[in-house]
Amino acid sequence: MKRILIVLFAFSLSGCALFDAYFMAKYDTTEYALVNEIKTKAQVAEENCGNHILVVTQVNELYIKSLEFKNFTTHIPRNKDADNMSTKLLTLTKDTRDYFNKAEKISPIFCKTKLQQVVKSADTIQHVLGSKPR
Amino acid sequence: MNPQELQALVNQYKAMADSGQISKEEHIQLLSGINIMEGINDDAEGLALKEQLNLIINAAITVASLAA
Repeated sequence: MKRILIVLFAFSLSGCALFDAYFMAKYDTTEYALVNEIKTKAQVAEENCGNHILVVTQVNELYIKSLEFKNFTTHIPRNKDADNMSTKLLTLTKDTRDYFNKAEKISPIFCKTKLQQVVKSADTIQHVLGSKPR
Repeated sequence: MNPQELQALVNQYKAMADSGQISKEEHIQLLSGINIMEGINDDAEGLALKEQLNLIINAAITVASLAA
């Protein structure tokens, strides 16, 4: 009976979905540590929104760390989802960096809200990366 | 992030812009950020489903090997 159920379950899914899920990239400590670092750096930068020079420096570091995260995930086999997320996080941090470097004046509430977007996005990614199979 | 949470963020940003707490450019910046966050959420949901499926497949393999 169990075998019949397993076979029925297996046939109810497409072969590609099964293959992708079974052979998906496993949990990677470095990948997880990188996204954790991005989240932490964004949280620290958020606390320094009152200091324009300091926050610009930290936003630049945030972009570099996101680039490192993206570069790290790119060539890991069967890691497309993580790669897509790291690319989007890089876009978010790049937009933030570009705006903070360009703008003459940044309102404190914008600074906090923008960095909260980075924190929330990094947290979403961290949650799913941490749940990858061991 | 569900549609209600997204709408809440859009409303929050609009209120900040209307009250003059943020400039027009900053408002646009925040809205473009929501767009990216939504994309990240979609990818995260896809990966979470794959993780659940991986768990089920492995459990099925364990059951099948025990039954054999």
